[in-house]
Amino acid sequence: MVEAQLAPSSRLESAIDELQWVRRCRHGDETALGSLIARHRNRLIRTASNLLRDRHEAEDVAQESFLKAFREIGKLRDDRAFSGYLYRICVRLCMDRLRLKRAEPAEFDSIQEHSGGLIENRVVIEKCLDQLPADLRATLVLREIEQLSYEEVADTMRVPIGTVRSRLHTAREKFRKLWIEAVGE
Amino acid sequence: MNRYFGCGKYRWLSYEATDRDLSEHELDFVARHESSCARCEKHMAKGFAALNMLRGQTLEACPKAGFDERVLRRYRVISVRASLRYWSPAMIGAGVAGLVILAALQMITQSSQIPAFSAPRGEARLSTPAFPETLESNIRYVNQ
Repeated sequence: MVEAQLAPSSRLESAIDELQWVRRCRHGDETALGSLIARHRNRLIRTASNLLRDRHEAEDVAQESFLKAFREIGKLRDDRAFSGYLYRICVRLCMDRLRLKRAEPAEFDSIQEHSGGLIENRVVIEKCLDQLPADLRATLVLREIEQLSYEEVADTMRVPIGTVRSRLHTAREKFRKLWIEAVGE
Repeated sequence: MNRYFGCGKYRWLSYEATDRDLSEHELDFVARHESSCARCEKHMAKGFAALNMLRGQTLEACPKAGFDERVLRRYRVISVRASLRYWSPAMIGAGVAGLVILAALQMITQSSQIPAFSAPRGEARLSTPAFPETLESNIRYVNQ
């Protein structure tokens, strides 16, 4: 009960802190920039890692996202929306990178003898994800791994909810086919 | 044909069931289709297995040490560049205006130093008047 009462108040406090940091950030206050980086870096790096499946590239994208967000903070109308704004930039940068990468044809022959090892599964999943178009891949990862709701995915990708729904269905079906092809079941 | 559409709807709803609560009507349809179509049941079992595998492969964030400092350093560099880019047209304009003023001043001071009616100093040959200048030489010229 106490936790239930405390959680919303601490959430409110952190929201107020963030609001103040964003306001100070508009005037180039580096302490506020540092606080915002410390607060959001883990989430951005995790999302970028899951989207790109590359930790180094993910860190690079997270850095770029912060820089872009700080540089263009004047475009942000509502200070309370900073978190979503930053997240959207990160996802968009990831999608740009995914589009730039040319999809290489999958070489599932080498992993036909699938024994279900952890690393092997990871390799297969990365190969399957590589075969998906950027939009489908991002939708699938945001929903299945990042556990965002349809509304959040739609807001992040700037598409209607109906589009998210249909993309998700297509992505799941394609992923299933690729998985079966890879595992050979 | 009906069976095909039924399978498509069943698969769609089966995936949707993981995201939202299905209505009673939808649940009824899913249950009826599941009991009659073994192919779809197998299809969805594989689909869910693949998705479970995907969910299990989450990469956690582990930023390298000094991540924050690197971002702040890059931000400082970008800010300096941006301010230079912002002020550079004004600086170029001021430079051009300075040069124009300097050139104008130079021209004004030089033009006051040039004598109004004199031959240029660099003239190599002596000037030979085409017509005599004095009255005597004029008479001599006419007599000739």
